[in-house]
Amino acid sequence: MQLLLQVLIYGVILGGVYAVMAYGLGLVYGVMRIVNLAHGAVLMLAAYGAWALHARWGIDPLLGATIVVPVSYVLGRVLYRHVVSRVTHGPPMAAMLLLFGVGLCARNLAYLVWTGDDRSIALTYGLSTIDLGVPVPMTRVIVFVVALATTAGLFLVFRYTHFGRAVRAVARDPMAAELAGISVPRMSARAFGAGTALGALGGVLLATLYVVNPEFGGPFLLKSFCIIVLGGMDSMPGILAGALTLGIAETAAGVYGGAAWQDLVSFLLLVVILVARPGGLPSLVRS
Amino acid sequence: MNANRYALVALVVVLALAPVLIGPRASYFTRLAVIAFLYIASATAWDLVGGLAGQVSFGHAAFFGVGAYVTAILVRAGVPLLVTLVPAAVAAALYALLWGWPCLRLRGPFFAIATIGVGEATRLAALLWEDVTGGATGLTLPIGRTSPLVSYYLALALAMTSIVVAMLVRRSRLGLGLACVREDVDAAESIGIRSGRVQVQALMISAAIVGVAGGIYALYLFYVEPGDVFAFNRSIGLILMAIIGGVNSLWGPPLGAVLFLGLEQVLATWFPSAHLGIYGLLLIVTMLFEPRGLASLVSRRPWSASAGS
Amino acid sequence: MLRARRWIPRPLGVATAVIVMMTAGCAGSQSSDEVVLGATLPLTGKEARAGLMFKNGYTLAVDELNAAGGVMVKAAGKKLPVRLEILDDKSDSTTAVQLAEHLVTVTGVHALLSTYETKLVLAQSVVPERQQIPYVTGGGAASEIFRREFRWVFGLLSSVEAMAGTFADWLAAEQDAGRLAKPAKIALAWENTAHGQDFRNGLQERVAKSPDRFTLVMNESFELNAKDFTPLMLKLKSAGADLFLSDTHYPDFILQHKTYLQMGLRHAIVSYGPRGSEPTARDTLGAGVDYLVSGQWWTPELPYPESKAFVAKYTAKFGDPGGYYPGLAYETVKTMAAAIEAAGSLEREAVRGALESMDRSGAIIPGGRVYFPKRTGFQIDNPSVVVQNMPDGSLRIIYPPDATTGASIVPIPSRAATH
Repeated sequence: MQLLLQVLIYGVILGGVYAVMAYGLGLVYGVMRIVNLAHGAVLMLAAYGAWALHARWGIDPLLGATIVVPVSYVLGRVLYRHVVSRVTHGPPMAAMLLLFGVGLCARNLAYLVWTGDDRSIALTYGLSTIDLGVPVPMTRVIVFVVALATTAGLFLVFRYTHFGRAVRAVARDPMAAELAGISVPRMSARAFGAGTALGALGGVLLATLYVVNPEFGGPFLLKSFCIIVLGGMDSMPGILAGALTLGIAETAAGVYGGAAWQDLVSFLLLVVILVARPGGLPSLVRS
Repeated sequence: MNANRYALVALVVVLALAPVLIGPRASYFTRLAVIAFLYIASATAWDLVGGLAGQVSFGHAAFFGVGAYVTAILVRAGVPLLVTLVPAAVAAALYALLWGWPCLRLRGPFFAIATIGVGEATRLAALLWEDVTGGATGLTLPIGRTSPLVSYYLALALAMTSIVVAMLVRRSRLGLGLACVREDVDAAESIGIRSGRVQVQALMISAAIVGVAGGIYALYLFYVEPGDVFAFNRSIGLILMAIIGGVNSLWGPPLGAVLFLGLEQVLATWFPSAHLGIYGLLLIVTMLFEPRGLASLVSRRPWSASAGS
Repeated sequence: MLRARRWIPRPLGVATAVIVMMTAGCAGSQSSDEVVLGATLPLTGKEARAGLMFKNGYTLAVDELNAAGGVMVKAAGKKLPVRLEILDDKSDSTTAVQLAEHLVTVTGVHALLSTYETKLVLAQSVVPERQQIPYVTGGGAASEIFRREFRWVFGLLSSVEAMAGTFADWLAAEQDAGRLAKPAKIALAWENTAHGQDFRNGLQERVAKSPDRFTLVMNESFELNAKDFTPLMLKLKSAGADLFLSDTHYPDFILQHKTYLQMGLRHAIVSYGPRGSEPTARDTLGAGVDYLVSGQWWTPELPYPESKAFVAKYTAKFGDPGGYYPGLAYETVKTMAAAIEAAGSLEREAVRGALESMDRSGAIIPGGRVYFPKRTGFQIDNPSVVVQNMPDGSLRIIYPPDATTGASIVPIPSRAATH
């Protein structure tokens, strides 16, 4: 098969991985305009959760997600109510730095509990592939499917459920939402919880693909920024588009430029988009 | 005010004579003090952008590294030591101009994210540009040409310079302009302040100082490599120092720098596997209770006319 | 702002005084009735796992020496017990330097054992050179450390270039035995670190020296902790190589080889540098790790009696030695002790001289000899061990010839389709 086509197929599949990684961050920013610098820590802790469930009881991560994700939702809500909400009315940097501090604590916790050793989840289907013209890892295809389902699910939730519309109202104009009878603090806590839960889902899925250690979150955090900036910061379909773009761009850079260029791509894209087109891809479409 | 002047002068004299006074144990103290002075200089310089201008930079290590590499390359080429620090400052300032001009138009969190990108991209670039930077292996400096004592005095001089520069900037029109921009960009523009220009100026000054700090670091460690001088943790350290000591103040960052260093030493002895968590808790606690910095808890007077960023 | 100025010189002064006191206040005396060896190690931070194993190795060796009464110091007329002072440098270069300085000037050690990881050793090694105190490293292999014409720094790890050279020697042996094509096409990938760079340099050098034996058809670097090696593997696929050599850290090795297997790639020889023989790799990749070849500075499988004795003692006390770290740490202490005995005193220049002229047999490192050639800047240049994974989970040493425990399996036998 022609190399370019292979690049596209692998790039798109990689994009699915990146999408699930970035959703949590996108939701929290989109709704609450908070840059969650603890997002990497969420991914990492969820990944450890999935690993621990598998290592101790043999629970497949996809099943383990049904435990890890709800727990993360609760933890996210609690964190918001008791810690984050106290700084949301001040300067935006305060929330960002506070969450960064939370991330540091989480990393330290991981070192203490699990040490710095590398952990991987050995799945029976971990090496299997599906033939899409080229052999594509089954684990990645699963992740891609989840990414699509999540995009669709989020789109429906935001459009058609009370929760979704309330969240969007709070994002658009908190005071008006309050006047309309929506409890802004409660909605914000739920939104933050949902963002954390999405991040946890991403972490569990990523654990099926990669080796886990306390530094797990770092590279993902930076790529996630790039993706949500590309995606226009608060649009879920935009995030999917951004993730696919990054996936293809990185794969192409790696094949045609050299593996050394792969990482550079996300940073360059991030800075260029922030400076030239802060509205991201959606603003390109709109104009 | 006179009592303060004397206290300051006395302090400087003590520090200048300290290596002699301490005697045979001096080399350990000297090494520790070099780091302390470099921290003071860098944190103060960072605060010009992060505190005064209100643009929190997560990528200041980029300037540190640029200065370190420029110095290292020149020293290896045989250039006299003191001379090498000037190109370090210039290179860092030009780099600030290069990415500062487009990025400083972004506000708050967007600028912060952009600086994360720049910091990491610089590190990667240094890793990839093997011919000039030695790549991952880095560059070693010949050890015959300088000593930790020289670095001590250079660092002390830089720390003092940094504080003086910060004081001058805060008192000047540039400082006033930056404070206005920090509070409200549009209002500042409407009264004629060129927000882009003043911010870039602040970034360039800040970068130059941090660049020289990097250069002195190279002379002190005799070894420069990307994972150290461009480390993300280094950028974070600067933010922590300013926050601990008090953002947007003249003496806050220096105090924070010293406290941070002391904290590092204490943690190393008593809680070696907890330093990440302690820094995290410090950030959380500070943001929750006193965003202007812990040091303003010490003095019960306001540290500056306006609150922090 | 003007009001606040009254407060500041005082806190600053206080803080400075505190630091001065912290450094001056540590009482340290140079004792003359024991041998004090100092070291910093990364007990926390990125390299904590290796740091702990180094600590175990150092401790085991010192305990062994003390159980036999200590180190014989002729000038003292008797055996002196050994005291080990280990500080945590948190995997940070600056801390490693400061603490080394502390150990020498405040604690008053007689000699320094090194920390782990090339970056830290590169920075730290300046201290023994300035302070003129002997320093032996089993934790830093970059030849850069030894190219500075230092007199006080001695390396027990041969350079990574030399390791690449050992690989090349082994490949040549396989060619002479008719198991590998001649000339052989090599695809090389290397992580963008000092280790990777040196490996690439060493291999490139050997390829250039023997064009009749080797050609390089791929030469790609990659960043640590990459999230996707598909592009690299696509390139590998189109390179048409006979063998694939990659120099990696553990997480990258797992992801690379996973991608390799999933793409159905095959070569006569596959190696990930020092990786491949970890038990956890077999848990994750299953039979995919069969026949992988790896190069090590030391491995518990070495057949030398001294090495086997050490492995038994270490396993009993600490469990499985998970890499070369414990062996090298052990040998570092034994070397320093031997140098003190040969020098007859604790006097630094004498010990240094003993290190320079050392040629000690009965060591547990490959080749069994400890020596420090002046030509390399006092970095040993013994061969590494080349190991191959066997399907039953065991490791077979296939090179150098004096340490082999079985025949190598080249080319890798074809497997049944994995899916």
